[in-house]
Formats: sequence, C-alpha cells, structure tokens
Amino acid sequence: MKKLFFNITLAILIVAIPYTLQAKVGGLCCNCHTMHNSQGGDPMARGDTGWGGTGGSTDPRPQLLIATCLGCHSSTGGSAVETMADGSKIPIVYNTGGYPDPPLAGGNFYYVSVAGGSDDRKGHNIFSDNSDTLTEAPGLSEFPDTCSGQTDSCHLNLDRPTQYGFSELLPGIKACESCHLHPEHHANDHVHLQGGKVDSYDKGWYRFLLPHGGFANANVDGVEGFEDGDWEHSSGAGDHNEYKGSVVSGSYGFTGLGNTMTAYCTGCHPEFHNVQGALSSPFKRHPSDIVIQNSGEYANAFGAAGSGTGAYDPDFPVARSTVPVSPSSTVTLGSDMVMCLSCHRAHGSQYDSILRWDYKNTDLATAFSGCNKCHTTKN
Amino acid sequence: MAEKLKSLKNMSVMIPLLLIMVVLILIGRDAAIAAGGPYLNSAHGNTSYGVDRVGLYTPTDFGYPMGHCAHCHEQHASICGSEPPPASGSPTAYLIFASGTSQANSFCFRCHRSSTDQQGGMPAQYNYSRMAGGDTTITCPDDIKESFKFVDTAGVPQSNCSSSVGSSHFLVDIKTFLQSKWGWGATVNPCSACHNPHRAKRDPHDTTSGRTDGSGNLIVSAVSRPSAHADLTTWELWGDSAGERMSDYTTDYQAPYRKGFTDKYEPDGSTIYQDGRNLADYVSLCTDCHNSSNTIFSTVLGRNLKTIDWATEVHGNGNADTYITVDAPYTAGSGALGYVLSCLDCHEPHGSPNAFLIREEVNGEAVGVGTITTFSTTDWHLLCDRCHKDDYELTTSCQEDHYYNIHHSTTYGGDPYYTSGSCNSCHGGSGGGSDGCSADRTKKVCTDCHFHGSTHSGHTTF
Repeated sequence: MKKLFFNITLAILIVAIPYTLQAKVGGLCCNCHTMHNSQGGDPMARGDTGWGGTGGSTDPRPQLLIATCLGCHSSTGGSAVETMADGSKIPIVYNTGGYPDPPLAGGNFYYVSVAGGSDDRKGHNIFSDNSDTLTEAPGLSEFPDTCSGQTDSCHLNLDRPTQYGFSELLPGIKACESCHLHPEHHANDHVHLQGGKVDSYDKGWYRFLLPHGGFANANVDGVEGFEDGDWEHSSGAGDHNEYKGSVVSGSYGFTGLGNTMTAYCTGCHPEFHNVQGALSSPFKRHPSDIVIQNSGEYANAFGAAGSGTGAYDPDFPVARSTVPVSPSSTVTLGSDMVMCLSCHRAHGSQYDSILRWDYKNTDLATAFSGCNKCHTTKN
Repeated sequence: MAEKLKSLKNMSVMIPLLLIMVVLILIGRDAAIAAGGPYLNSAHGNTSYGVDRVGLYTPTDFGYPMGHCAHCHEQHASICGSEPPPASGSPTAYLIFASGTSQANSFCFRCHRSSTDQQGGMPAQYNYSRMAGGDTTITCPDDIKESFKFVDTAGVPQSNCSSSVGSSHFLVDIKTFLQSKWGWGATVNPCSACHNPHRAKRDPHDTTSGRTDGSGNLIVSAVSRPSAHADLTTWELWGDSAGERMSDYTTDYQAPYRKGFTDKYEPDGSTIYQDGRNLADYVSLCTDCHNSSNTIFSTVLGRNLKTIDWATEVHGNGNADTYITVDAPYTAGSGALGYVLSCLDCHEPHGSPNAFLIREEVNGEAVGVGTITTFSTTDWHLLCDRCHKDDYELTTSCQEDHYYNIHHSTTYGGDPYYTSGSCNSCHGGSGGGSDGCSADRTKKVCTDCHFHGSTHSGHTTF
C-alpha cells in the first residue's frame, strides 16, 4: 500500500511539475538571472543594451537579473520577437534600428527614442536621453487629485521617478515600471507562447499592469485581459489580445472603473474618462469604454453591415464586458466597447498621439480610416 | 486563310487590350467610390476649402490637413497636452472646440463670420437675394453671422446692413422648438435644424460648377430636413436627389427671374430650366416647422407665428378663385391660377433687412432695404408688386401701387364677391359704385387681407 501511495504521488508530481513550470515565463533561469554576475572573471550581466548591441553597464542588478527591462526587451534587429538559444521568445518593444513590421500589440518605442528622432508625440517617453515635449500627462491639468492629492502628475516624465510616495510600489519607479509596476514574470498565468486569460494577481494581472495602490490592493486591482501568446506578433481576427471594459459614467482608476484597461490608462489620464460626458451623445471627449451602438452609422461598424456582428480587427481592438477565455473573431455591436487602445498603442507608434493609424495624412480618406471603423458615414 | 490569320492575330492583341480596359474601368470605378463618402464630399470636408482652424496652425502647426475632423473636434478637449486657440475653458459637447448656440455666438459663427477662425479667411457668404436672385449690388450681409444680426440676443431688431427693421430666424426660439417638437437635446445647436455639418455642400448658385446633373437636376445641397434628424448619422441632405426637388413637390413651379434679366432664372441663372428641378424642395423643408399644426412662439414678434397650410394657400398648392394679372415670367390669364411658390421666392432663410425675412430682391427687381417694416405697413406693395401688376402697370392712367383693377375689375379677373356700391365698407367715405382706379379713397394695406392662413368670407386669401 505504501508503495502504491508513493507511486501515485510520484505520478502526480511528474504530471504536475512541468505544468507548474510552464505556467510562468519559459526557458532557462540563466536566460535572465546570474548568481554572482561572474563567470571566469567576466560579468554575466549583458549590459544595458538591446539584443545585438554592445556596451552599457554590466554591474550586478537587483533580482540577480542580467539586464534591465529594455536590455531584454529591445533589439538592434528588425524583428519584434527575439528567440533565445533554448527556443524561448522575448517580446521586443524597442527596435533601435527602425519601427518593426509587424510591431507587437503595444507598438514600439522606436520613434520616441533618439534613434527614431525623439518624437515625443509618437510614444510614451520612457527615455531620459531625448527631448521632452510634455511637462505632465495629458488629461490631468484640470484634475487635482490622482496621486496623493497632489496637483501635478505622479511623473513629470516617465523617465523620471515618481514625485510622490503613495505606496510601497512607487518610490523610485520609472520608465517601463511606471506602468508594468511589478513585472511578475513568474506569475502563474499560462503556457509560454500559448496565451490565456489573466484575471488575478496570482496570474500577474494582464501584462503586469498592477495598481499604484500597492500590494494591499494588488489582489483586487489590476487589469484583466486575454494575453495573446506571441503578443500579436502574428495576429488576425481570431488571434489577438482581449481587453476588459466597463461602461461607467465619469470616474477613473480601478476603484471607479473596475479591472479594465481604460481604468489603468486613467491612472495618469483621468480626465479623458472622468470628464467625457454622459453615457450617450453628446460626449465632451471622445468616449472610452462606451458601447458601440448597433444603430445609425455604427450598425455598419467593423463591416457589420447591419448584422449586429462585425469582424474583429486587431489593429483596432475593442473591449468586452467579460474577457473571453479565447480570442473572439467578432465584434458584437450593442455590447462591445470602444476604449483607449482602440485608437492608441500603449508603447509607441509611427503616428502622433501614439495613434494606430496616420490621422494626419494629407489624404483624408487615409486620415479617417481609423475613425471610419465606427463612424462609417464620416468618410 | 491569310485574312483569317490576320484577323486572329488582331484579336489576340485586341482581347488583352479590352481586358485591360475593363480592369482599368473597374479600378477607376472603385477609386471613385473610395474617393469620398458623405463627409469628404461635404463643404467642411473639402480639401480645397474645407475646415481649417487658425488655432491649429498658429502658434503651433499641429499638421492637420484642411477638412480634417480636428479643426472642429478636439478628441480629448486638448491636443498635445494643452488646448489650442480658441481655449474655451472646459470640454464642450460634441467635442467641438468652443461652445455657443445663441444669436451672437453660435459655434458655427466661429468660422462663418468676418473675424473668422478659418485660416485664410472665409469667402463672402451673401444672402439668398444675391446668391439665387443674382442681385450683385447687395454686399451686406456678407457672412452668416451678419445675416443673424438683424435682431439682437433678445430678439429685438437692431441696426445692421443699413436697416434697423430687419429680421432673422431667432436661434433661441429654434432651439426651443426643436426640443419641444422632436426632443432634441439641451446642447443642440439650432443651426443644425436645417444643416448637417457633416454633409452640407457648398451651393455656388451658378451653372458652371456642377451643382446640377446633365439634365439640370440639383445634385448639391446645403440643407437637411429637421424632421429627418432622428438619426444623426444617417441624416441625409435634402434637395440633391430625386423626390427632393421643387419640381418633385409640384409641376406648377415657375422660377423667378434673376435680377436684371428676363432670360435667366433663379436659383442659378439658368437660361433653360425654370421648373424647379435645380432648386431644393424648400416647401417641404420649411413646413417641417412652419405648417398648419405646429405652434411656434416668436420672441421677435412677441406672439405665435401664423400657421401655414401650403396645401391650400393659393400661393401654395391651392388655386385662386379667379385669375389675376401677374408679371413675367408668370403667365397672366387663367394659366396663372395654379402657380406654387417656393418659400425662398419671398423669404430669406437666415435674415433680412426687412421684417418677416422678406427678401430685398424678388423676381428680378429690388424690394428694397428696410422697406417692409411691420405687418401693417402700407409698403407691402413693394413685395407684392414684384409679381402682381398694380393699376399703373395695367393702365397708365391709373395710380401706381394701387390694386383696384385686380380686386374690382372683371377685365383683370376681379374678385367677384365685392358688392358694387359698398366701397366705403373697406375704403372709408361714403357709398361708392362708380369709383375707378383713380379714386382717392384710402388704400387698403395688403396684409389687411393677405397673409399666411388668411381667409375672407370662406375664401382663402393668400
């Protein structure tokens, strides 16, 4: 009996352990960590530079990491995904040689970097070596109380640490971690490269988008979503991220809007939702997390042609009230929502205001191509 | 055989050429379809003269091309982290860059005024008397805001364009009516009662710039019907399609002359088309509001507007009892009985230096500036005379601006129900019966008997 119990236990462990490991970041530990930052007298830290580059500090780093966020997630190459020797994939959000084609879902920081021309309008500016256009986050100037009751932005610029304390997560936080506040690479989310629904702190929240409120709120507040397995490096109607939305009048942040992507954006840009008007026209700002109606010109949105169902376009994502367990290839008019990321990339794009399309193209048909996904008669 | 081979050889060349031509035609057709939808074909979306806000060019050039949405709409009540001029202080409904719906500061007036927010300025926007009537001597008003300045924000006539007795559609009343009649929202701009800013097209009122199709039918329009406004996104233009033109409303429309011509007609100076095919059906547009059932309060007049039943009024679809003498191009005699007028044959759509929005030019000649002052003025003949012959026109021995013949002479289709010998019942004095067109009895004011909705002894008198 003891032998049988041992065998059963062993079988369970054999089956369970690999899944447990796969349900986090994949690959070898040494892909990211070094025990002593030394091998044969040489540092193991990669240097704070993208894949394919050289130089940068090789000093030991917190969490025994061999590189900073950008050290791992940038590349001198043209691809938005780097493949490691063991087959592990790394999403690249900053290609130093040019804007990648295709980019990942969040876009790419290239154009906001010095290499890309330091165009502050084309990305969230996480770099300290380029020029700054903005003095604080847009959508905040009329709004006095988002960060410890202060009247200024938490960050005067994302390349600088937060000005105010507020929680144990914020002091010293800047750049990538301004948004990916606690990168839970080992969170219990889903199989590497396969994607899955992420709806809890245990799973690291969606793309590690945690609240500024600190760990006390981390089990409650965070972004829900479906993480596409390859970060939308390949994408299609049925191959993409999924985002959560919630129709709420006014308000901002997780407390006001729930575990939505828009809630996260309004942490820095509160007015853009809080002062957007009521739940129906006339709006005072272009609404986010508002249902795309199945009537009027919107009945033809996303090619629905009056059917109530359009084709999902990963270049113009929508939010759902409930995040599906797998990507849906349709947009359901009358329930799915327009949100911040329907128009904007999260990291950077080729276009001003980090838009997903060339809103300033001199050919107005091109300039309105994004608008026309919903505003089908404004063409 | 050689001929056959040659023929086959020719065919082998021709077929691919034909195929290429078909493909090119299809591509061209698709390109045309893709070239623009309602907005890009509108005046505001035009890339040559569309919206182009000064504030998006100076002090910072944000790079938005002419016709772009951003010239009117600020997506987040700011651009690039701050609000470009004109800064209005707070986000505005419909995301527009400034608020305002009143007589003095409607949002539309931000550009449709002399000190315009439009880069490079706005071209002159004259009134209907000049644009359709062709009176090029009219230079004021020359922008839309000025057309609405004939009354102040309280609805009181004020000095404007050399007149102190002018009139305008009063925007506050329009807004009130739109809300009560159709439940339009509190933030509605009253200009949108008749104009869809995303579709309205420039109407040049000429025959050379494509305002009509090859058959003379109107294909551009600046107006949309308020009754069709329920769904803003599908709110069509009115007048640019079959069934929406004046010639569709009636077969009895006769276009008036253009100023100074007897061979050119309103509204575009055509020398050919006179049946209203090149004119929007303004009757259906205007009677969405001004009909026999709606009660519309006028702040300007201090009373409810008179109702209009264009189906029965004799200037409308109703027929006069007997023919009267009329001026060309209208035909005198029995043929004159059935004419149906367009509202804009007599009224300005925005504002006028005369009372009741009466045009300063009608049927080819001037009515004058500030001449129609009140409902009871004796000068209404200046308007009526544009189409109805007075006594002098019929007989030079008679008096000018008198209408004895029309009303009392059977020679000219005189009204049959006036009883001979009872002149004094209307004209004072005593008795009568032998008076003629030169009698010096007190002249009646036209509006004593003739106005919208008027009747007399069971007869429709307007």
